[in-house]
Amino acid sequence: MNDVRTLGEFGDDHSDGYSKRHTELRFTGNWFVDAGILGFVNLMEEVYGWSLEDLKKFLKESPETIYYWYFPIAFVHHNHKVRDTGIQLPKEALSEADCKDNLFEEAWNLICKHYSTTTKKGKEKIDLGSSGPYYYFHNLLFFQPGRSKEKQKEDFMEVIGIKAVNKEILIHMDKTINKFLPSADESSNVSYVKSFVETSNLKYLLPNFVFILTFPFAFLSKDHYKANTLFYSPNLSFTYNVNKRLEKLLESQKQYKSILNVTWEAILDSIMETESIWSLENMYMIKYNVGKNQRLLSAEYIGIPKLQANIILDDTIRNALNKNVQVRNKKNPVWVWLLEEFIKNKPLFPLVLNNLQLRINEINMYTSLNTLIYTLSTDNQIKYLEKNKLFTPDFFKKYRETLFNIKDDFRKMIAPYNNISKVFTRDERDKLSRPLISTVRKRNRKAFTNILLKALLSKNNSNQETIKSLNKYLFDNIVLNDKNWENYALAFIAGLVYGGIEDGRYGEES
Amino acid sequence: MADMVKRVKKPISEEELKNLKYLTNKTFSKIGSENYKQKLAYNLLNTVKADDQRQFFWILLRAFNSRKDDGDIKTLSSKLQRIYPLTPVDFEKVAYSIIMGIISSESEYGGE
Repeated sequence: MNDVRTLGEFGDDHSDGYSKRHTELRFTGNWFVDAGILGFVNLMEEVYGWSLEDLKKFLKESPETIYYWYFPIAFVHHNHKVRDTGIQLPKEALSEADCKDNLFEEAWNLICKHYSTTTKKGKEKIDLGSSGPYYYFHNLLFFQPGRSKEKQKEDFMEVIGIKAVNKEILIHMDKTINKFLPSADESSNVSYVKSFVETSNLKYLLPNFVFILTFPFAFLSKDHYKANTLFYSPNLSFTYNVNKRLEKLLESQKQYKSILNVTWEAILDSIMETESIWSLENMYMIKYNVGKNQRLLSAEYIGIPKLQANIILDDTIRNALNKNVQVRNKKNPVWVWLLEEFIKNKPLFPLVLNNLQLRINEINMYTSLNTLIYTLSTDNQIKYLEKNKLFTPDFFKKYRETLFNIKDDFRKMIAPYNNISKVFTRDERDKLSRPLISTVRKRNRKAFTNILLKALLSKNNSNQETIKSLNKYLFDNIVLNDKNWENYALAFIAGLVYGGIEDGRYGEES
Repeated sequence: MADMVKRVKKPISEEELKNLKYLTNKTFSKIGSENYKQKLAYNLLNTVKADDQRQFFWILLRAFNSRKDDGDIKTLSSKLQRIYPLTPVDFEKVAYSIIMGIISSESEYGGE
């Protein structure tokens, strides 16, 4: 028995039924194909009520039944369901057919029986419309208004892999099949291929091409977000779970939140349940809008940088950043979600500065000191890594040490907290914080140090050990620190603003 | 010919600043009362605020004058002599290192 096969032989898996790799439902790593796989799962769930686990089990037991019997009926029925035609799902039992051709023949007969219609010219065809998600396939193959029933059947057989693929649009896939692909004209400069996705290559990955028909079902479509959105990670279960949660959250939310904000809620919930934490490093939000004539109006990919994903994996830091803080935007105070800003790789320092200014000057609101200090220490490390660009000798070493360094910075920044409240009274802290924050805003280290040293000098009756400790913080982290003294200065001001053991609020979450 | 050679000063290193703070701390544990040191630190802070390097060192050297034979004062004076004059950035750092050394002197050495 020879287990070794040449590359060409891999394509022959269909000859003796489905190989193991084709009966297992899992992602391929290519988001364009994987979106189709997720869409397939969603379609089967919506029509038959099967969960992902159910579908996986059924596919293992009998893949032919799923692809040749259940799928064509589900696809046609779902098309009617979207248009609200009122036709019920056929209840006819599956006969004991074991041949894939017979299975499809029987499914097709059932489809003809329940979903046929007669055109104005008197031709009989399967009624397929292009409403809702089906607009993505407007006029494609069996959706064409003039397509006869026989032609439609042929199209289906090619897509589900019963018949050899003959149609050019299925052999060399381009924009006609999926709006995210370039059209053949657009890629004319690539002389050696007619398209980037060819069925001859796809067949090594997939048992058939049903996934090209299920692509739009992977996306969530909510009117108020005006875009079809998909959360994608290379793990099927994780992606499925997050999208399910996302759908529920979008339906249940009372006030408008950004889609990324809601997605993160879904992701964080799913992390607790699944063990797919590694997926965090490769997540994408894919959005699209299809306008008239099926033009793709906008497509947006939101990758989450590896560094940020790495940091979020830490429970303590994630919990600290998973907070909304109030900041002033133009004239009005607005709420900003720190985690979202962090994922978008935006600087966090201005948010903490803005939040503290708002608290000092106007609003009597409370933000957890833990959150503020973790935000500053995280921002500190991100700045540091950005300065140490790739190709510097210690880049990878520093990259790995980031989590440790953030926590180390946190410990340093929180250190003067208790001493501040020992030395200064509430009133003194309030008075001192105003000029100090102004110096940080102007990036004036000299003025910051001067004001603070004068304030410490006026407290010569306080415990000398306490003064010495604050003095040391000031010297080590402000005077000697040219790179990011502002972060330490702001942490000190946060201690002044929110400090005070008597307040009993240390570590309290907002 | 000598005028044509530009002398570029190296910025004061972190180690030198720490050393300055330590030396000042040690020196001022032997000089003056708490009130005197407090007043001195205030005056020095005002000169830093005004970017007045000359005045800063004038006040500081006047404080040294009472115990000019002390070994630590001699070491500190010679160090200051070597680095003077300073760039504005270095002056800020050196000045604050010295002032912080003065402020924390009592607690470490139990000055008079």
